[in-house]
Amino acid sequence: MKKLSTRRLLTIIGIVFIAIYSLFPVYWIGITSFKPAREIAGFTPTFIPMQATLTHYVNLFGGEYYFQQYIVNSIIVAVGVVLITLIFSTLAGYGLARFKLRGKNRLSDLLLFAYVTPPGVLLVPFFLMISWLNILNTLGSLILVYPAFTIPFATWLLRSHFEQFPPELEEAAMVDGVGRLGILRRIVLPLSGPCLAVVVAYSLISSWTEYMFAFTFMRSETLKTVPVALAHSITVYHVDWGLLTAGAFIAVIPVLIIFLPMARQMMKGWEIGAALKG
Amino acid sequence: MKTKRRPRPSLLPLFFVGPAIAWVACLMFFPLTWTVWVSFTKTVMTEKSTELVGPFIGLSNYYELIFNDPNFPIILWNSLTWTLGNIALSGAIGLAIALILNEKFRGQSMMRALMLTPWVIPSVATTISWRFMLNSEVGVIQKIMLALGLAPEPMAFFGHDYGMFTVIFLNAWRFTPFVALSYISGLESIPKDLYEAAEVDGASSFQRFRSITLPYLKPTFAVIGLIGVLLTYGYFDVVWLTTKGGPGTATMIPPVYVWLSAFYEFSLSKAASISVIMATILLAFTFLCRKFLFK
Repeated sequence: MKKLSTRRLLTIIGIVFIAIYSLFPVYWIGITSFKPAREIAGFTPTFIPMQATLTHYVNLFGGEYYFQQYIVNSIIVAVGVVLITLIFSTLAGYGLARFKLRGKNRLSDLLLFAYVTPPGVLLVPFFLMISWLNILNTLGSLILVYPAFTIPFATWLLRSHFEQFPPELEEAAMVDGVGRLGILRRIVLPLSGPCLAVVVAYSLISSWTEYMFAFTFMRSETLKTVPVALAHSITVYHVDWGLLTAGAFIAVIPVLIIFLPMARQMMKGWEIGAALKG
Repeated sequence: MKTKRRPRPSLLPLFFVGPAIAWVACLMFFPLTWTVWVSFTKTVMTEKSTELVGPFIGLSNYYELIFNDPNFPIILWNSLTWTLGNIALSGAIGLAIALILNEKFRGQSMMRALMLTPWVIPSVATTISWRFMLNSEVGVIQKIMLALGLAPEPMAFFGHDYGMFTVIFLNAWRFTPFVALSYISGLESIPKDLYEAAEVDGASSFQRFRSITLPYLKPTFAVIGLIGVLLTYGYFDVVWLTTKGGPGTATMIPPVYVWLSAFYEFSLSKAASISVIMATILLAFTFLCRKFLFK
């Protein structure tokens, strides 16, 4: 039998630690959402529900909490943000990659600056802007504001991606008389699938999970997005942990479903890249 | 047909790059300038959102904040502990995670992806989960501590004594994947043969770590430090969703104070001045970083 080296043993312990560290909170709200209230309040915590139940989920969608409304709101905002981000960033990323512009690097620095500005600093500025435009308490305010964060990152990503395209491909098309926009549409974009997918995922996840601005701008009960509705339930009603964890779990699952496969793919690609180098 | 001596500069690049730049510029730079202006006025929140800006009062807001507000020094101090605590904690744990995930094993990619979970899930879910686990009555962590004999009575994790530690831990937990990912990227760039050569020369694991790994990671430390501060300093969600800065001002950090000034005290001008101070501190910090770290 092969002797287990200390290094190997430490690695295995480390992996277990990482798994628990990263996933236990998600796991915990997941199983709690399926436990009946009695079991949640019970003295000994159970790591697998003794009596699994769907009551909390039923309450979430029936009863007084019309959770589906919040989901719809979040989806509307997410779709709007994704569309805007895709269109604007693709154009800008391509423009920055291919065109010679004076002050090009200053422009991308500008975008970088926008990306790293902490939202806390932008709270008052955005609020002033949204009030002045008189769109407080509308989903449009979020669709207007979120791209300020998603566009810079997406543009940067797409720019790096487009810069790696062999220019000969596009030059050939230009000789044939195809305009820049046509090249983008017919040649470059169809080959950019994975990168665009990342942009979509990033914009989706950003809008789905954002809390501060959604909380500040939305006043009506019916216009809340998922994070805001969840947060509100902690403070207002007496805490029904089953209900709350069910809602939280619903907020988490789409993110993980979209994100994990993509992340794993990227990590694999990274490994291959590193292996090729070393 | 008229012919010109020089071709007219094409407007095409503008069409491509313009919209994105315009969006970001309008949304960020005008409101930011406006906020600076508001910080020099006395503006209160009114029902009518059209009356947005009050009379000009110069540096009064800043004077009030810095010299007359008893909360302000506490908040500045908290922002320091908050930021440093977060970076130290997530920096340490993130490094450990990165070192482990640097080893080759089956499922390495999957593990690396899973490791990102704390960063990706909504802050609301994060705080609900941890609040639940640390809850005095039903929290699993309390029960485990009780079982292990660590805490005979439920601990007030969000109370006056431990509040700051707890919120720092929560945010560090959330931030660890970002740090770990940066380290992993940094570690990948270290040439493997250096380690092999050192091993041949008889260097121990620890020596290899100290003499090869750490120096090569210096740029990564710098990046994590800088971006870490920027991402942590003004972060609102975690503190707001757990303690709202309380009890009292035990866990009050600037972004929460901004929010409370604007929407509980209804003073937009006070909120604006705090925001400007925050931005100035961060700009100064960034500037210093670039100067001394050649970033």
